[in-house]
Amino acid sequence: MKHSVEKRILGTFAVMLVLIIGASMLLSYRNALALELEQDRAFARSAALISNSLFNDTSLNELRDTTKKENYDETRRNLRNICSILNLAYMYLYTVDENEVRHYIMTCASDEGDDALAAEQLGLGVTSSEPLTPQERAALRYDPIDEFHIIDNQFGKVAVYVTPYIDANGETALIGTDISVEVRNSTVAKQFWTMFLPFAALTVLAYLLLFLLLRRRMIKPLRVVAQHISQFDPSKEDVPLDLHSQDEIQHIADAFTEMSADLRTYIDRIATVTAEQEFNRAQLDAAQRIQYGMVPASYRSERDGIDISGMMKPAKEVGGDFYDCFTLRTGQVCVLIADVSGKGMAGALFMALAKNLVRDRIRQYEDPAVALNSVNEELCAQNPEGMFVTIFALLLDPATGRMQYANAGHNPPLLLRDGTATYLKPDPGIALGLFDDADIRTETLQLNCGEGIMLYTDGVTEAVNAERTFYGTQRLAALLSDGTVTDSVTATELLRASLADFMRGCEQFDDITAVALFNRGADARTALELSLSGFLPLKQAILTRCAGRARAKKIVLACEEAFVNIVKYSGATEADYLCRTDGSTLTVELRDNGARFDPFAAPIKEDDDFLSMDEGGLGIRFIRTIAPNAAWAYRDGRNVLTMPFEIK
Amino acid sequence: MNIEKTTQDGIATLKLTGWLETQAAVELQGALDALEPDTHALVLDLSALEYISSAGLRQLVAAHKKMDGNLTLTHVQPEIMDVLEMAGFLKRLHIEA
Repeated sequence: MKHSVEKRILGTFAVMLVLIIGASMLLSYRNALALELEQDRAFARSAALISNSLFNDTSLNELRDTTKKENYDETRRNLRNICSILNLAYMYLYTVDENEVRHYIMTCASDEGDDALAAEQLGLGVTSSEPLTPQERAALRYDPIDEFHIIDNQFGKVAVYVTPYIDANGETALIGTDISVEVRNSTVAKQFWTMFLPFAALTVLAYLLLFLLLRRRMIKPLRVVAQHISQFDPSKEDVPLDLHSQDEIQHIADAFTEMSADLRTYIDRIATVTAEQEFNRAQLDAAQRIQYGMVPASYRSERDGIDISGMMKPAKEVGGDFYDCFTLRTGQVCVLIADVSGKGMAGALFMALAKNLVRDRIRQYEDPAVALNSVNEELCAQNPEGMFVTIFALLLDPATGRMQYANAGHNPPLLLRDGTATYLKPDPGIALGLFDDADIRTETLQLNCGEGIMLYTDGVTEAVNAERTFYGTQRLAALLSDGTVTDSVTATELLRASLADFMRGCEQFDDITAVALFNRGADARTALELSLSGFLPLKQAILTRCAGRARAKKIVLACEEAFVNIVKYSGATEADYLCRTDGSTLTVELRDNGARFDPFAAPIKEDDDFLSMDEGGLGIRFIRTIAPNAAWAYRDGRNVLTMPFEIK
Repeated sequence: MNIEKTTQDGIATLKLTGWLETQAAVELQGALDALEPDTHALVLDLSALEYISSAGLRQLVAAHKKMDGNLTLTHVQPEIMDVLEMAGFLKRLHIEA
């Protein structure tokens, strides 16, 4: 402890002691001095009074008469007696003439030696013309001052007291009474010590006792309590502290014992609650993982000329968006998007139920409205939490481009036609799970080659930026109307980038989900230039579709070998390719109008032919190894090489 | 495709960087033709080779023949190793990992 109370109290006490003792010293000395002066005055007055009566019948002339020596000597003896008894230094009798000259009549001293000297030097007839003191002048006016006058002469330092005396003949004389200042000071000192010492001793003792008491009753117990508190361990029960007293400090100790018990209870409770929260969080995380496992963050499919791309950017909390793409028995492609009310565990469970139910019913009924109405009945029948889901579902026939769709209270999708995005105006329908009679209807639309549809959830249009404005439907339509959007990946990636830019630095409150599909036409082929560098577009197409996959380069290798064969040996003037992605398979179809050649009919060179391998034959070997299910056909005067590659 | 050549004591080292495609195989052929007559061994450093096609492999066979078997491939990356295996070259070529 930097500043202990004990030291502070000790310091304060010391200062107080010094002040008190100093003050009492001063007071004691002044008291003693005053007392002594008062006593001296009383003695001087007594001496004057007694001398007056001593000289009462004696005239000054009689004393001056040298013939009456016995009379003079007796008077002087008596005066000296008074001087001795009253413990005065000197007493003397003298007159003052009109020239203010003192004429001594007699002088005596209590001390024997001094007396002899005084008799000789200040005896009868001795004069002194020292200036008169105020006391002497006052006495001569019969108005004596009751005060001493200090003089310092050959007889030492003395306090002089003067009173007037009038003899029988009416002559005025003065009686001087001297008190030795040295004697007086020693008396004062004696008095002072007598008064001061016991008081000082008592004061010091009292302070010492007070300090010891404070230390014993306050400081020590406080230290014990402080140590006890600092040793508090929440994992152990607090042992009550007994200070063997009933005072405030014991009260503090008791209060701490009580508080530590409460504290332990709180700590236990917090630990329990935290553990519960962690458990719940883990459960919720698991739910989220399962939920998002059912809805891929990004999806890509290209089959029968239908090009589909989906994206999902989940919010922090478990949301309820999902989308689904699958092919029906009839060859129709189903694409749907949905938004489940509610978040968290309930939302996740309801979403899982809805997703499976919708897929099941669409496969069963092959009509979006019939399927959604059936889902609605099911959801209404088993929906204790009153949850609901909005869905937009469409079925597209790749062969004809005929699209059937049904809306159950979901945001209207965008039709991407001729480089412009416009909102479809489907029957709004109603969210599923709310009412038995949802009465969802199927509508139709012709989606021609090169046209697309964009499905999204309100997480897109209601995304908020730093200025707290919504992304909005207009911004979305404008984004997709820039003329560059001719395939699904461009549509979803454009939206992903635009939203990221829009929401920069802002929290995402809802799942952001979108699915785009384009009718590329069943035979959307890309022409290839017949030179070695003509392979580049196909290489790029493969790398784009298999980005990050280890097999990408092997697929490029097989395709390069096939393409190089066409360029070098077929004599073709035209060649094109078609790429299709379907789930885990990427199929590349190469077509050329060169000489009819079945690559799989030629014998494969054995490893023994190593030294002749610089002549060729490796390419076919690679194609067969990398795409074991590759097939060749000759149709309409063209070689058609179909190479399916596993890309998972 | 980039080819970096160093020669020491009659041993030539070619470091191949990038994609050894059909087009690039022509460059490798040129580099092999340009080897000094007193070159008695060839090392191909494949540490930075990302891709090889059959045309590239054919140049390896050609180099093998030209050097009377004194051809060594070094730092072969797994992807390239796969292709060499597919071609059945592992037993025939001298390969250092």
